[in-house]
Amino acid sequence: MRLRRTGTAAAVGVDWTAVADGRVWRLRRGRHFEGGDRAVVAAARAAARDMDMVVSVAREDYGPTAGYVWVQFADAEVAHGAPCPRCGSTTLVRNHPGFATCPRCAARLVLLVEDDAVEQADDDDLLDGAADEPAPAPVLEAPPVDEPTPSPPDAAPPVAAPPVAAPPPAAPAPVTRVERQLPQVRYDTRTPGIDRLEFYEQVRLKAGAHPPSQPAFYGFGQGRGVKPTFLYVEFFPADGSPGRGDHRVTSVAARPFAAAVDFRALNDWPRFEMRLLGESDLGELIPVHPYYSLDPDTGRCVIPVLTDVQTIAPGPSRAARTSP
Amino acid sequence: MGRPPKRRVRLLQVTLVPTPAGFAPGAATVTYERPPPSIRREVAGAWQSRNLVPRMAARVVVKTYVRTILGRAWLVLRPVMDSLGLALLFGAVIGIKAPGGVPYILFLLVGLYGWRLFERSLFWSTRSFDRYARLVRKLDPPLLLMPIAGIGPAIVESAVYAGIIVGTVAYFWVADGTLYVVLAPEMLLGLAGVLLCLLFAVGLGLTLSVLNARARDVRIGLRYVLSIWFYVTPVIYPLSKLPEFFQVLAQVNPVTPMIELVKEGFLGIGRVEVLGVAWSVAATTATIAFGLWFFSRKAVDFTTPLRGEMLGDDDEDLGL
Repeated sequence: MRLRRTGTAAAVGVDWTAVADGRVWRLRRGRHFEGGDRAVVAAARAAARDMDMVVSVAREDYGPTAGYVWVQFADAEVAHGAPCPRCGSTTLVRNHPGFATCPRCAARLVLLVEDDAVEQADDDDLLDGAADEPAPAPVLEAPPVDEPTPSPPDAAPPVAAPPVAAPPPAAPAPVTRVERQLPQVRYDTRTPGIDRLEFYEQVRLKAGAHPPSQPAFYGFGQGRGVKPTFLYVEFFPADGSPGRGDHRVTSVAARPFAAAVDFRALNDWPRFEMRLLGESDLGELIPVHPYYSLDPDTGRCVIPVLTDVQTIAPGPSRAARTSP
Repeated sequence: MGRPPKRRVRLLQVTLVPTPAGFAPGAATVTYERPPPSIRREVAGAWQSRNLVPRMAARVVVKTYVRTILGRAWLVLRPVMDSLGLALLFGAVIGIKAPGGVPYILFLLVGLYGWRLFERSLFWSTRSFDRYARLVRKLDPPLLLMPIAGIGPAIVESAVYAGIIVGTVAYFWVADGTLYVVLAPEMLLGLAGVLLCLLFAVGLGLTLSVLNARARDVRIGLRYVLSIWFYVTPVIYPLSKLPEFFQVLAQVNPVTPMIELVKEGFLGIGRVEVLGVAWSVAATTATIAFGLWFFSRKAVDFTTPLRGEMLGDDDEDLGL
């Protein structure tokens, strides 16, 4: 089966439905995609989400010589030790440390093993050379002066701005279906600090014993370029709007306690899914709680967290531009 | 009067994904089963993904010459330098003569064509799990594809040798007025010899690739075994130059009849014996059969550490 190119040359021209057959497919730069391969990885993940699937990706960048992205779609993702999420079968056929097949419903599953968080982090750097380079050590630096960390003007407890660790360059956030419907929204690409959930991947949280008025969660996540980290996340009202909150993360590196922690058990915890929303999507969410809203698309409860507010200085009006 | 400032808001949606129905961490007992070994399943899986073979092969070729200044020119330079060096040493210095009045360089090139195809195929096939370690760690392609696709560089190299042979034959045709290549149905013998070289290498590679995934001693030792094998195979010298006893002994080497087939098919100067060819075919068949059997039983076990954890990548070791 040949991949069919769709869209413009600048876009990721891959018919994802054709490659979502469980087999491994190779996408080649210049033929199946143009420009950086991170875009095609993001597109693959977005397509997988749209198709209610998951995708495993291996990138290889040989500079000007060649660039490949290998993709393999699977039906679902399941924590190690968890049954098939499709049919609940407690017997899985495992032929690969990271993959399994359900003998009952034939679902292909991606297994989240204990080091999955770490592996997922370098997933995007699965290329010769880049992956061999040691992850750069976090560098403490103050927030840039000319780009102060904005905060919601009406946020009740303003988030402190401690020195932030500068992580290595990360993959851009996947382009979701919602985002594609927002042609004019541009996101701030500044790196979030370690006190923000956006900094972490593979986040798994459990609700803590806190009053509903001030929800807090604890768990762990994978900080970019660093090892697994224990997280404590507090939510609080963002700007007074019902159904919207802000948050603050307190983190502790898990490495010193690795021997004392059963990471496999932590992997069994529910995973948080994070995605960016534009402001116009606020209207699509239904506030059901001071901090929670209902996403009518998925039927799931979400916490829309105000992470950034940027005030755009208006350009000169047409009259001002035309006047001498 | 300017427009009012516009607020651009960035939101993060945190969605709590529910755990699978009926699942409580630590409560459910999930059994992971290993599928029973099956040659048919291995072959069927590889056949289903056969479109990956040329792509994976191209990847190894690209990867081998990445970060080089001459780039793909090495694909041509290496065979040229290899054959010129051997021709200089054994043809000009030692003075080995080819039978039938064939120029030694042509005799050597045809012999090298078959031998290098076998040797490089076996070498790359053995190293295939090393070369695809990153790929098989992140994805789950059929494992049988690895030793098969791994011979890509050998195919490319042998194609270059074929090109050099054509150029050399053309040169002697113009210079001496003699066409040394046999343009007759006998040429099929040469192709059969080439095919046997390839299949024998793949058959051995099926076993050695799995063993190499377990212990890299295989790869290290293979270099020396192949070096000795090269000299006991009549590539740089004609079989007829050996004493009678050693000629019989040389036929025990399954590669000897293959190389002789190639020489006979293309130059008409090989020494093909039915028993020797039958032995080669039998050895190739047995090697492939055993390789498939061994691969289907041991590949998953032996490569699991490779796929589950990151071994050191050997990009820098090009195995040249």
